[in-house]
Amino acid sequence: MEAKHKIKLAWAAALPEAWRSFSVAFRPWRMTGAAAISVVLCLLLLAFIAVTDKFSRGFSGHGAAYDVVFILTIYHLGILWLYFPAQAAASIAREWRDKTWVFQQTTPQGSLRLLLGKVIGAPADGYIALAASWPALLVCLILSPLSASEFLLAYAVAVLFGFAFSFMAFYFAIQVGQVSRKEQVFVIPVTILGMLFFPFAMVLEDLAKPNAPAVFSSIINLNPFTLFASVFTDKHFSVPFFSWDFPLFPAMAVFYAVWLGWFLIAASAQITQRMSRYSSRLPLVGLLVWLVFLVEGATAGIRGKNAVMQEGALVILTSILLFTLYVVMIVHSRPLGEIRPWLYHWKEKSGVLGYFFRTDSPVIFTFIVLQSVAIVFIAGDFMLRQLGVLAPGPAQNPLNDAREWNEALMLVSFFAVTLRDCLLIQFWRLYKDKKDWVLALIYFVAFIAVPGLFAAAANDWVIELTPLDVILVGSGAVKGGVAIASPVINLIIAAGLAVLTWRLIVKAYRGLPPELS
Amino acid sequence: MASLMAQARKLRKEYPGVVALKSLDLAVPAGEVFGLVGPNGAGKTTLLNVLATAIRPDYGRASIAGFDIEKEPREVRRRLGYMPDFFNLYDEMTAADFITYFGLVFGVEQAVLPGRVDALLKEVNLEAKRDAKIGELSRGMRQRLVFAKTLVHDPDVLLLDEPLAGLDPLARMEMREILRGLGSKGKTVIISSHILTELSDFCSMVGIMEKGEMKLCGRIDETLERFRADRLVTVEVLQNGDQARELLKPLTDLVLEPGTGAVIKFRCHERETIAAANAALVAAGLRVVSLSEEKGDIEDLYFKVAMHEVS
Repeated sequence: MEAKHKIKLAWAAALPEAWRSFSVAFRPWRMTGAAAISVVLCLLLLAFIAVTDKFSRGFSGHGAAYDVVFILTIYHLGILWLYFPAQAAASIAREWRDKTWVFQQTTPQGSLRLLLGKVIGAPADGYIALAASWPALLVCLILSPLSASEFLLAYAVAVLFGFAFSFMAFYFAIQVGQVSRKEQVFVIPVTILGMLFFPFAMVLEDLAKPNAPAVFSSIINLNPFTLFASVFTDKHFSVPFFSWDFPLFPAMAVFYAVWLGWFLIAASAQITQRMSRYSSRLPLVGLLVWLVFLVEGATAGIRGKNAVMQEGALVILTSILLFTLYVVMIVHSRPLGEIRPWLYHWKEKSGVLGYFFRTDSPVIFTFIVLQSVAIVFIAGDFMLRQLGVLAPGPAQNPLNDAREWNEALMLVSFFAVTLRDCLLIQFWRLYKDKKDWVLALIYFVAFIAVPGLFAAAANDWVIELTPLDVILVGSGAVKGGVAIASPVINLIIAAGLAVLTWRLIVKAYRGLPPELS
Repeated sequence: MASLMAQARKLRKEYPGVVALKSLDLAVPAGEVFGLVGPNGAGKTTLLNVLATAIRPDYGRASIAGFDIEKEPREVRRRLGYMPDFFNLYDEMTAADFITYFGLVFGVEQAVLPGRVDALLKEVNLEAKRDAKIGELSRGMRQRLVFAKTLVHDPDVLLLDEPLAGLDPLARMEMREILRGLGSKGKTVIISSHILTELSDFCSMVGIMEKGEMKLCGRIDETLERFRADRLVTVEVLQNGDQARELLKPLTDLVLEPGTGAVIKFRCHERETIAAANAALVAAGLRVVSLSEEKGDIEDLYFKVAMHEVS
């Protein structure tokens, strides 16, 4: 066997799905064409730079090479951040559309290996497009007054985020794949709007600017992600054609990065389910534990700093965490058809509680139990501290020390609100399992529209029904009895929904065929 | 008894408003070629999908090569070759790359993979199309290519869903030869098909499904024997056909078919009757040229099940 073939198979064995895409894209004639384009582009740009520098001062005043680098950077970012994610999403959608998925379903490869193979392999044409313009970019970079090392570091970050966005797009493609074509028309814009107009997204853009409050930089360390900004701005160059915001976009990515890790796990878990395997609940349990630590850690870490810092940081953190939890809930809620096998086993074995923790039990039930435990634990912990049983409480009267009180209330409220919505979403899927798009609507209305509509009346009781309430309680904008009422009201609603959900399950259980009991 | 390579117990699968599998049992020993027949909607494809781990059953257990399909799906998939009834392919890939890809996915040793790809292409008669794009192949070629892909990891068990459907006569003949070869290689094969007469050629076992239930299941010969209502026997004598008829007429458990000449047909229930008929003719000095019992086939049996003559 030829050595070349051996090498090809060695890396292909690690990621066969990527190899499949490359075997199609990297045909000799394409590679030759890319090389030819690269040479021609390079020569043309060099000629352009030479002519421009000789006969004009350049449209930005900093030299044609600088302008070309900027333009090519935008072109590359377009490929990395738009084409890469689009191809990742299309790669899985194509499998379902063309009915080739059955081949993937019946192979022994792991879902993570498939996912990585798809995300890396899907934008194969994009690699050619990037590679073809890289020599020109490099030449212009050297000729420009820009710092090559800073630029390359920023470029590496942009590549990483290109893949991160690809994972996110892949994940959403799986979600969209679960609804009909008509419903996709609704889900896609909601998703895009959700990402673009998510409340803190606006804040982030401001934070990324050089004059952002130092506290945010110290909390979430924006510096590595503003390299493009420093490349183009620290030396007091102007940025042609574009507002400042575009190169600052990577700064926003750090906030999305919190989700991306989970998206990777969730996308992998979703593929696992699509491969008709059991989905492990460990990532979910791990996520919940991580959330508790993160919220607790954030409140503890911020404590002692000034109120403005605390409020801003908490708004950001809780927004991210809430969004993540809502995604978890929607992903893991199950229609009755998928719950039925678990009910069969339950009926056959006559088990009760243990069956909530079976590997084939609906993951969301485990999640509901864990959320309930978290509420009891956090509320109990705080009460014991206030009473001085575990440690001397900082304030005997919670109403006199609203800040401490609010931090604990925020945690309880956090889980009470999400528990309530978790039950609402699961109840809806049991009740009307074909209306998946309603989940997106619930999410959109509950999490974005309602808080947005009622934001002006922050103390209004209506806010207590929205996830924004968690943020308001944490920031101290809601105090005293109103703050206490929030988790209480939401827990009462959650209890009602739990009863309704339970009734539907019991009805389905009783409706199982008798011959299997 | 050989170990069971495919086993199912009380399998149940429901779709909204339809029970696709209803408490279905199945046992296929190693080395058997099992023909799965039944009308559209009987649940054949659902059964194969469940065994292939493509869908999960609502209830019941199933295993392939001793591995539980729900607890150890990866182990099952390593030992299983599955050819679905309807599929599209990655049209931009070449035929050789397509098989190589699945070889990589199934973890075929890198040292043997290129050679195996070549051998499989040869086996399914696609050597000449090695570097052709899949999109350029005919339906029959694509079918054979998927079949080659199904074999790339040398699976112990093959699940083939309607592998002969939609093929032209020539392609069907080629495919049938390939399938016949599998039985001789000792593979355990479960094959569903509507072309019942062709299944008789290479199946050693048969299962007849209807409305999600396995109505009938067992070795073909035994099953045909078991459910045979009567036997149709043809005797040819050298001469004196009318005399032969007269000799056979009084025998018990024997009913002559109307006719004249040297070829005589009669029906009976017991094998002993056939022997008695032969003895009577020979004792009378008639020279028997041939005596044969017409075999029933899966098609007969299937129609009996369909007509609810067998339950």
